[in-house]
Amino acid sequence: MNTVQKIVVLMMKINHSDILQNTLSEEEIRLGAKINAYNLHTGRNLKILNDVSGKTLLTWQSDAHYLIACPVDENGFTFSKIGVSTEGFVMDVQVYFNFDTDKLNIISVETEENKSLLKILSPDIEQYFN
Amino acid sequence: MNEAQRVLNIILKMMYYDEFKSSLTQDERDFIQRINLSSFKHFRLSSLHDRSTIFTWVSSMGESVACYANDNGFYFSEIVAYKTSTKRMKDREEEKLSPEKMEIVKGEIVDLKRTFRLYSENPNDMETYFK
Repeated sequence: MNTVQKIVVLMMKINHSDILQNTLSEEEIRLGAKINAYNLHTGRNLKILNDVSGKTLLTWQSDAHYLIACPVDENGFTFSKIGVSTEGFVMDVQVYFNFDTDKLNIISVETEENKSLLKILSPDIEQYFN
Repeated sequence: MNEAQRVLNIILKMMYYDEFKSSLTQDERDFIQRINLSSFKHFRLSSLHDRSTIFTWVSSMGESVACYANDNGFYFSEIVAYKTSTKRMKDREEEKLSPEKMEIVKGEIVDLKRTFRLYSENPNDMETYFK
């Protein structure tokens, strides 16, 4: 597995407290410490999840009170295509139960308004993902 | 990994197939080929606020169904149905299933058990994992 796949596996294991915990390898534990994964999970609600279309997203809560998501594939995290949601703190169980719509309500970053938002949010991204 | 963990692991890899397709083992590839991937989007593992795990799917009776899962198995005997909603969690309605709907769900559980049993090296122990 490449590093991205290892991070995805690690974050999935962190998301769940009752499955696969005894399968955490030494390497995964070290990787978790290196990227501060547990603190990101509890402090930022950092999660890997997939939307209804099967697209995989990395999501987290920003200091700017928005929910942020960016696409993930095995080649990496596409931070240049992040989306923001004005439903910023709807990160709850319901998100996973609605199979009919894009529950995260990710807004395209193409609008001027959202481009402005990205400028506000960029310090978060710089801090946590560089 | 025990059998339950192997099933959980394969479900996670299927959920994130595009991310993991290059890392799948031959056993995992064989398993994915044996089951119907087109219906996979209805299956998923999710974590609740306390990080406990639920296994959900969209039932043919038209609502989402969830049961707890952990390293010991899937708790199909404690199925809960949820009405899908675009509203927030506080508006989510948990529903008791009518006997008619429960019959539909029971049939789906039989199919799920049969599906995952294919992956077991020892079919006799699979009931342990589907409480």
